[in-house]
Amino acid sequence: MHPYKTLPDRSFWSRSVSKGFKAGDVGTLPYPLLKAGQKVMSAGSCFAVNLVPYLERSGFTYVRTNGRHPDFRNIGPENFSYDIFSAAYGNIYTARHLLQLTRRCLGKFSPQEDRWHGDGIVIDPFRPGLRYFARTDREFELLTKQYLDSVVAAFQFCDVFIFTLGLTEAWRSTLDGAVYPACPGTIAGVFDGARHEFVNFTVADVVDDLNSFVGEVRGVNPNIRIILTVSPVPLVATTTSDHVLAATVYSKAVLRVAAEQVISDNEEVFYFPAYEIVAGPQAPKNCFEADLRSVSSEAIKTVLSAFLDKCEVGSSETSRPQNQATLPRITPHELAALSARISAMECEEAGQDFLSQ
Amino acid sequence: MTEAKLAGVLAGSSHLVSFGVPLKSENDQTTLMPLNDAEEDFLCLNGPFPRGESYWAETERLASDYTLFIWWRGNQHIADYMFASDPPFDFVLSDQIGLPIMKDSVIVPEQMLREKFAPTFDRLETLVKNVAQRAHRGVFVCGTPPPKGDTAFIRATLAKEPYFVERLATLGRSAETVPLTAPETLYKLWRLIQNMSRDVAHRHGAKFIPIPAESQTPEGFLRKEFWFDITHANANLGRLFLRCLREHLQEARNASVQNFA
Repeated sequence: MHPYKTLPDRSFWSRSVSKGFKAGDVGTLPYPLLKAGQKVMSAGSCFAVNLVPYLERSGFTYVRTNGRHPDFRNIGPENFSYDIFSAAYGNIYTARHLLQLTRRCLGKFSPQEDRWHGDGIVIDPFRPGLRYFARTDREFELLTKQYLDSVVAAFQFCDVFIFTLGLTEAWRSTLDGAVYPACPGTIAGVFDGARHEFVNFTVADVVDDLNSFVGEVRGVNPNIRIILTVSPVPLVATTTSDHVLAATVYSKAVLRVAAEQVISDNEEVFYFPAYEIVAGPQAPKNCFEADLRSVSSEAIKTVLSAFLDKCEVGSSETSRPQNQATLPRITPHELAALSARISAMECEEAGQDFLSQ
Repeated sequence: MTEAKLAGVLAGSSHLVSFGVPLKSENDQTTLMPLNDAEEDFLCLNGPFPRGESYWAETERLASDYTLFIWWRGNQHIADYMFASDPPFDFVLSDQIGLPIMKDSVIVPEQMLREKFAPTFDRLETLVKNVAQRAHRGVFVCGTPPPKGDTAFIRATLAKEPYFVERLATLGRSAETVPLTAPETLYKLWRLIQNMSRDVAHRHGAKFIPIPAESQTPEGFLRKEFWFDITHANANLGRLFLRCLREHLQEARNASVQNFA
């Protein structure tokens, strides 16, 4: 008798991956991960956007504290994913960005380079693609305060916060380390080598940032449950000297290790294996689109089915993930309707590639 | 009309009533009619109401023989926002950033309001652009009256105007109790509409003539002596405005003389 004798099938590659793979078995998670009717807030990289419609269709309340005023619902949608997420923050690719956003909301951090002035417009460096931008400093300040207040409200109101870790690479201010979602000068602003620098966060950085985030967000919502995931979407581009494939593997490895450390450091913080389900060798070839970067609708469906298997949801077919084509999702056709300058981009990260061509 | 006595034609929205012009023609025909103007400087283009494509096409056609003074809509703020939204909203007007923001209101970006109003300027954009691309005698886009700053007057008048009576019925509210948008916010909305009219004019080389400053209170509202109904101004404003228009017409005449010299 040895320890392996008593282990379940999921512990053996030959019995759980080589054959009989079940995406829902991969995670080590409590049941239910979400209780029926709970209020859910989410943030993260562009992959995180996919979660929102599934949650809503499954009967969960998706927290929205910065929704469009009802009088303006018939005008064009906001760019990127700004008004898809709970409080209009758009994509948050790094743990540092999440932590800094939280600190800004709580009045603990004020970026020195907090706005960029354009021709009659004032741009938010942390939401650089906003379609409905400010035109004056006063408007910018009032809108930014309203936005930050809405983020706090979302943290206070939600039962569960889901964060999808996307990147370790980022651009930040040399003045105070403020992290931007996109390199200045790509989506908006002007790149200045003296004021903007590249950073590739380490495992220790990400662990520290996430642990700090957990502590600080629990200062406003002590009972919040946090679920971490790692986006399976590869990097659009790397600013390191590495090949983008090597940079991607490094980045995802860092995020995965950091997530593991953070769940062991904190109560009520869990990891959901979206990355493993899509990027593991068991994944079917159609998990990615022809560009080998965009996650296919089938893969998204597989991931979200596995997620919802861990949740207390209704049993009807309507609450299960359906063909992605029937769900609201940012498509190239929808993007084409957005402002002309950024019509081909699905997020700030992709914008860096698009605008560098 | 001789070259020396180039006339101005007033055309456009219901705000022409302050010049003593009927809101619509009796037979829905689009026709030039004289204005009550002793100096015979101005004519008015009367026609069906609401104005249709034939009216605007005729306005464009007249540009080759007359200086055009166009009133474009100007009631969007009243039509859409006279009754307070739920929740109430406010915004920072980019050219008057010091104006107060209403307490407990949601702040929306001015850009959002611009996108909301933008379709209401589409035909004006086409009109001014079309005129600019051909020989013309000058085109001016004219300002429309600001809102009244007196909520009591507005409440008392709501029940007399069919448009608002219908709206109130739809809402199931009475004129006495329906929540109204703060006059200060209505003023900002009006001002934004004026700015957007001006921007359309300037994009195509036309001039924008704002409402005469003497017609406004220090806060920007329409002075009481110019009130007509909730939306429109009375003949006092027409007379005041006409003096201003005459100066611009003379500019156009001078330019015309130079062009033909």
